[in-house]
Amino acid sequence: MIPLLLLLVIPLIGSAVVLLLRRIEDNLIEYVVETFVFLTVAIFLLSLLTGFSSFTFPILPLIKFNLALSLNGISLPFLLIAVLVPIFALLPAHKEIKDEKSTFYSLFLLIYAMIIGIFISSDILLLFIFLEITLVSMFFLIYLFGEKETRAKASVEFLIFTQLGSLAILAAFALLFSSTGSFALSSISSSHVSFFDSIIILSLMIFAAMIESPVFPLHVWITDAYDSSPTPIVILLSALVSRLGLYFLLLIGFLSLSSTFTVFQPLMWIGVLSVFYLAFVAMAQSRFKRMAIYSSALYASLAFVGVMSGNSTAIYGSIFLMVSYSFITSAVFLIAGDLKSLNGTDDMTFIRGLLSSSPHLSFFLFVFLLASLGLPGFSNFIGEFVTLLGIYTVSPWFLVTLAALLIVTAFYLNALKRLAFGRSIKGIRDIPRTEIVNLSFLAFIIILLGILPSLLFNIVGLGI
Amino acid sequence: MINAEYLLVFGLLILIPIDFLRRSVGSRSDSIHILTMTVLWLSFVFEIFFGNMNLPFFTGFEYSHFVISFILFLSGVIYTFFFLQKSEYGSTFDLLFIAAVFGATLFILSSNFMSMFLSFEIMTMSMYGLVLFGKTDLRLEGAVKYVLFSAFSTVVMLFGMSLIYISTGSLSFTIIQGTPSQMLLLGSLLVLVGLAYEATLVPFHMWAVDTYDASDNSITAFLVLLESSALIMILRIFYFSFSSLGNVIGDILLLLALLTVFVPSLLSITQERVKRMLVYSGISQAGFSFAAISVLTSLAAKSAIFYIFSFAVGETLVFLSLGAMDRSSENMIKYIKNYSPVPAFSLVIALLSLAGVPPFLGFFAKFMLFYSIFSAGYAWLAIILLVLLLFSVFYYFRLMRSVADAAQRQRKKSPVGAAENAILIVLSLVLIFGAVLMNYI
Repeated sequence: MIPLLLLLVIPLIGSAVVLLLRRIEDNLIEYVVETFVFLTVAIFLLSLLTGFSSFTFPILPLIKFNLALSLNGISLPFLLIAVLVPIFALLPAHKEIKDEKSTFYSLFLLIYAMIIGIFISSDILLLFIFLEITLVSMFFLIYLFGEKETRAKASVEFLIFTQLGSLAILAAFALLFSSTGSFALSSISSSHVSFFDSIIILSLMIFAAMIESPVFPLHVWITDAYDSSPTPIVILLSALVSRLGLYFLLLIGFLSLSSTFTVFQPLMWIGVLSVFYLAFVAMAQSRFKRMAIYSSALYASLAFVGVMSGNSTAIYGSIFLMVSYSFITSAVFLIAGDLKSLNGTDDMTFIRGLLSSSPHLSFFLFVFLLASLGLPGFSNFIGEFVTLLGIYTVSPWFLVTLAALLIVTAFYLNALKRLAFGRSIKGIRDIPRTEIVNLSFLAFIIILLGILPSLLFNIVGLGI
Repeated sequence: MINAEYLLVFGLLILIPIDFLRRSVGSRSDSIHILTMTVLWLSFVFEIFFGNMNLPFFTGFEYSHFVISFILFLSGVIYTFFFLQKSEYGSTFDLLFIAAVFGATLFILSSNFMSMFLSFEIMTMSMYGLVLFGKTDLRLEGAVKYVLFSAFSTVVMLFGMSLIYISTGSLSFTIIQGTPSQMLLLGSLLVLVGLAYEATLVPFHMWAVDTYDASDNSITAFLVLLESSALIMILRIFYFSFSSLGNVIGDILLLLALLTVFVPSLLSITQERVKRMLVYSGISQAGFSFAAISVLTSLAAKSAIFYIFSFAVGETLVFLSLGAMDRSSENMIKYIKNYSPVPAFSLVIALLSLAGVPPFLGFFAKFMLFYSIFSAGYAWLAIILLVLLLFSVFYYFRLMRSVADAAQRQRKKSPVGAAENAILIVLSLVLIFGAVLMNYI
């Protein structure tokens, strides 16, 4: 048994070490960061075999606030992405971050620790604290390392929207505390909350999840925030931060207040609307990164539809979808970064003939775009299929979502056609070998999950 | 037993002859400053070990030990920081500083209107002189405003006290019980107004911005400390001493609290200079504690005390680190000229704590505050305050972005001594781990 505390503490120590290294040796920083990240990953993989042991330490007895770490029914798949995805952000970080390395990596490791902490903590106040630290550090990352022209607007939009979400979550948690008298998830799920209170709590949580996922009317902050940030930050935002809202909703709605949760089923239509809207918006983009931004939001909306259905099959499907799309979206943003660094732009009207000029890049382009649109054999197919299966049992009408997925297929194939074929532009090189290794690992994971989905479904506790 | 207050008086008395001897010998004034520092820190230690003094007119209340401890701690920090920053200043400063600290501790302890008034006078009289130690041209204007407004406030307070004496025949906090008469009500309202000037509640805050802005950064931090002691006095009078009166004027307190949170937070958005913005936002932050005071429950009182503690530490750190980064106090929010890593870092931590971002002290204090307001049945108040909290996110993060810009430029580094940095780090650590203190108050 390996204590969960280690997963939280090691990256935190790393963050402090990197901050202190600023004075001594600037070139060492990247190796130190890699050491700490891989140490965390090693401990995580080891503890998958040996099992995790929980940890509790009282901090403020007055309000019954504990540092309580333990796994719950749905946290392990999320913990998987929280531990693994940042590895793939390291390589673009080495490439794109040249100045103020210690600040960047210190915040990076802090966010790494905090997101792991969110998925292993079993005390909702602790959850909130980790969430806030993540968001504030993210604000500084976006502001300090974003593109010079847009970063001020992007970071403020990010902060205002996510703080609004956090206030909603805090209000919901405070209400939960006042009606159950505890912050511990185990005692919240076992105690009775009145119908009226749970309606208010769940509305607040859904509002926050819609901001963070993001879902249609509240998605406006992502365009600037994602577009102005460098690749490693976009990966953290799209693969991890955007999962937090739905994770909280699952934790409170699905695991604790499940009897009231089905009242909100009609809100699935907002998700469906969001999927359609984002599909059309993504289709209209001419820049690859913008297209990737909207399609990542699109799949988050699809997961939102699955979660809001309250149907367990759909929920497991959307957990699978979130996990699988976290890997895919990291890869797509990695490719977007490569396109930009190789061609000087990621505008799809100017890039053509990648198949002959940079074969490796176009190979991965094919793999990940086909994986995104849900080709069988890749992980996203399983996620989409199970989610749709679940929402079909709620009402067959929800299958109109399939039409939106058709649009997705259309614009992905169109992007492939534009980028890969045609006469190649002279002077375009291929991606370096390290990048190939990075993308191959991601491809391996999504194919593995696509062929053996039971690996993940068994963790969630549902055999399909 | 030697209480902290005796030690302060002793220090005050021996400073004058020692300074006289020093002048006749002709040595530098550093020895006097070190003596002052020793007196301040020793009084903090004595307060921790021996507790409050207990005299007929000066009896503490439930939290006075905690309050006086943190006031002594922060005054020690502020004085030490001032000493490290300023090379040459006369012994007048030391006398005034110790007198102000002495006045503040007596003020918290007083259990009688007369003793409260006298210690209030000791405190504010010494402050006039301290404000004049600022460097800018505005210091005279600041000091005169302070003198005028606090003279006015003491007159109002005195009038209120006389009305209270006429209606009850006593000035002790403990004797006044039962349903209040009209005259007693009017008297206590006037006392409230007098204290509200010192506590900078809206609409009695007009003097504060100019005075705070004109004084030296360390003195601004000290002014904030005295402001929080006035807040605690209001809590003591209207909750701990005569709660029957508090229930009648609870609505007035609520109105004052809402105004105090709302108006300055609007004003601080429009400010262009760092210090004015910080002063306005500080007034608004103090208003949050007043919201808990106006709720008048035991949990709210406890959380208000704890909130005032977190607020005082946060504001002290803000002004000290600002003073360490730049001594000219002419910074605009859009462009911070000078930069130094430790002060910038501690400034960001202090701002995060004041904005109520976890895991800092300010978050736990705010959480307790909202929880106590909520559980007292004022859900609407808690919701309004939560929305107003979003304002603070806006103006604090605006300043933090500017600090981040200065960190990226890194052109002009201002040298900061190791001892000053150490003080800033200690205060930052208090903000990071201070929430644990909630278990002990």
